[in-house]
Amino acid sequence: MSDFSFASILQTLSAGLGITILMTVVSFTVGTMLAVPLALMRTSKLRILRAPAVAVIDISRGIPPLVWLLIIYFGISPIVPLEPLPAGLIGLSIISAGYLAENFRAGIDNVHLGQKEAAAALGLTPSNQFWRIIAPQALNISIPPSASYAVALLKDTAIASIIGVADIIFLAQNEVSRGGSAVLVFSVAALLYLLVGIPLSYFSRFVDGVVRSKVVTA
Amino acid sequence: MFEHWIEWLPQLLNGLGTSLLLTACVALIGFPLGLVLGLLATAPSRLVRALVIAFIEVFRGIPLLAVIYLLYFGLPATGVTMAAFTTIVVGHSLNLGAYSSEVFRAGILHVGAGQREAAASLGITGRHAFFHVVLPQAIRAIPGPLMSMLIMVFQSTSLAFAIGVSEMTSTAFSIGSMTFEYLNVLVLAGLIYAVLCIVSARIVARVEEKLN
Amino acid sequence: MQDPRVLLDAESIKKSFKDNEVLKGVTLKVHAGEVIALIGPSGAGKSTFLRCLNYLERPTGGALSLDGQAAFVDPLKPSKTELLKLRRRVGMVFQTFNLFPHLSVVKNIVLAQKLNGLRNAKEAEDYALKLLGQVGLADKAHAKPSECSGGQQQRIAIARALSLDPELMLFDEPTSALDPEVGNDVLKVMRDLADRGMTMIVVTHEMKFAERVADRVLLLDQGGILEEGPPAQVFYNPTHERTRTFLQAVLDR
Repeated sequence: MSDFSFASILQTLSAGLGITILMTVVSFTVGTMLAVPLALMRTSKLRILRAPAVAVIDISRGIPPLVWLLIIYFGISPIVPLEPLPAGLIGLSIISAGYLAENFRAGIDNVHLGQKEAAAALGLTPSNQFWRIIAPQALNISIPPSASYAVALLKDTAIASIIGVADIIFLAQNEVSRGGSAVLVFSVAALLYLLVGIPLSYFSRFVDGVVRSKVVTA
Repeated sequence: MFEHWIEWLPQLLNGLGTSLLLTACVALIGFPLGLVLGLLATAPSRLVRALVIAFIEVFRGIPLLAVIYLLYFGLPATGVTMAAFTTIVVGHSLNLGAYSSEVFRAGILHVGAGQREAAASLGITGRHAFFHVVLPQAIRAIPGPLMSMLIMVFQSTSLAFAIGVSEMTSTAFSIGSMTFEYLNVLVLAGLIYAVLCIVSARIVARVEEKLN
Repeated sequence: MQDPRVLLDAESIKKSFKDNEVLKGVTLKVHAGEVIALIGPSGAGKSTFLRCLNYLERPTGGALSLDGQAAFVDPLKPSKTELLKLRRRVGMVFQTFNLFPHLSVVKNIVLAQKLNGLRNAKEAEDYALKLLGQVGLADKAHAKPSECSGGQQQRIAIARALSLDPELMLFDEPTSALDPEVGNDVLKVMRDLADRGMTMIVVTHEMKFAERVADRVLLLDQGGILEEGPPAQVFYNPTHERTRTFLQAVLDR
C-alpha cells in the first residue's frame, strides 16, 4: 500500500530537487562560459566576428526551450547516444548561453560612452580601455539581470522532465500515476520550486541594489 | 532532406495555426488580467495589495509546466474538467497575467507624482485623473515589453506538447515518431519558430526605437 | 612675459558629420603657458573643435602639431602609437566628469600612470595623493566617486588628467553640469593651475572666468572663428555685430 501523505510526497519529490538544482547550476555555469566569448564577438567592430555571434544568439533564443530538448534527445541521441540528463544539460546550456550573451551585450552597450572617451583621453590602449574600464562596469550592469535569469532558469529546467530527466516534476508525475492526488502532488512540487525560487529572487533583487552605485549607464 | 520539408510543411503550418491561436487566446485573457493585477498591486488597501502580490509571486515562482499539470490532472478531481486546449490557455494566461502585471505596474508608477499633482492642480482627481492623465501615458511606455512577452508566450505554447494539444511541436514530434526523422522535422519546426520570433523581435525593437 | 614657444598648432581643422559641416577650418596657435577661452553659442562647434585636439573626434581635414612636430604622419589615418602619444601629452576634463565608478578616487588617478608605465605603483599612488591635495580633496582618496559631490568629482577628474603630466589641458564646459557655488571651487582649481603656468584651452560659458583668467578669447560661430583677441577687446570692443548680440544674450541670462 502506497503512502500519499503530504510528508511522504514531500520526501519523494525532494529527491528530484537535487536534480533540478544541479541542472540550474550546471547550465547557468556552462551558459556563462559560452556567453562571454559570444558577447565579445557580438560587440566586435569586425563583421566576421559579429555576424556568426548574432546568428548563434538568435537561433539559441529563437527555438523554444522544449524544442531544443526534443531536438537533442530525440534528434541527436540516435546518432550520439545521450541519456536524458546530459541531453537536458546540453539543451539548457545552449539556451542559457544565448540569453546570457544578450545580457552581457546589453551590459557592454550600456556603459556610458563617456567612460570609453575618458579612458581614451588618458592614453589607455583600446584593449586596456575595454578590459580595465568597460568590462568591469558591463559585468556590474549584467549581474542583476543574470541573477534574475537564474530564477527563470530554475523554472525552465522543469521541461527536462518531458525528455525523462528525474527532476521534481518528473517524480511528481510518477507519484500521480501511482495513485497520488494530482492536486496535492503538484502543489507540493510547486512549493519546492517556491522554496528555492523565492529566496533566490530576493537575493537577485538585493544584488541589484548593491550593484547600482557602481556604474554609470548610458 | 529538403524534399521531406516540403512534404511536412503543410502539416506543420497547420500546427503553427494552433500555436498562433493559443497565443492569441492567451494574450486576450492574460494581458487584461495583468492590467487588473497591476492596478490592484497599486491599490490603497493593504490587504488587496498583499493578496495580489502573493498571487503574482506564486505564479512567477512556479514552472508553467507545473501549473499546466496541476490544472490538467488535478482539477478533474474537484469536478472541473477542461479540454487540453483550454487548460493551456488558462495556465498560460495566469502566468502571463502575473508577469505582465509587473510591466503595467511599472508603467503606472513611471507616470510620476508630478503628473498627478498637475492634474490635481487643475481640479482633475481620482478616477478622472487616472483614466485621462495616468493611464494614457502608462500605456505608451509599455508596448515594447508586452510585445516581447507575447513572443515568449508563442514559444512556450510548445509546452502544449506535454498534454497532447496538436500545435506545431506536437505535430513535428508525431511526424518524427512515424518517420523516425526526428532530427530533420524538429529542426524544421525549430527554424519556423526561430524565424517568426527573430523577425517579430526585430520589429518590436524597431517600434520601440521609434517610440523613444 | 609669455613664452614665445608655440606648443600647439592646429591648422585649419575641419570636421563633418555626414553632410553636416561642423568645423569649417579652424586654425589656432597656442603658446606654452597660455590660457585660451573658447566661447560661442551652442552648436557653434566649440566642443567638437576641442575634441579634435586630442582626436576623440577625428578631424576630416587639417593638421595638428605639438612643439613644432606633426602629431600624425597622415592626419586622416592616425596610427595607434601616434594617438596614444598625443593623448598622453594632452589632458582632458569632461563636462560630465566621467570618473570610473568602479574604482576608488585614488585608483582613478593611479590607473593611467601605471598603464602608461609612467610610474610604479608606489610612486603613482604618492603622486595621486599629492594631486588630490592640490585640488583640496586628500581626504576623499579612498572614497568611491559616487560618494563625492559633482564639484568634488570634477576636481578629482582634473587631478586625474594631471596625473600624466600633460603639457596641455583641455576643459570641455567643466562647470556646466554644476551648481554655481560648487562650480566656483572647480574654477578656483583651474585658476591655480593657470597661475602655475599650465597651458589650457577651456570651452566655457563662464564669461567672468574667461575675462579674468584667459590670455586670449576665441568666439566660435557656425564652425569658424568669428572673433579673437585679449578678453578686454573681445568683451568690450568687439569688431562684429554678432559678437555683441551673443554677449548681450549671455549677459541677459
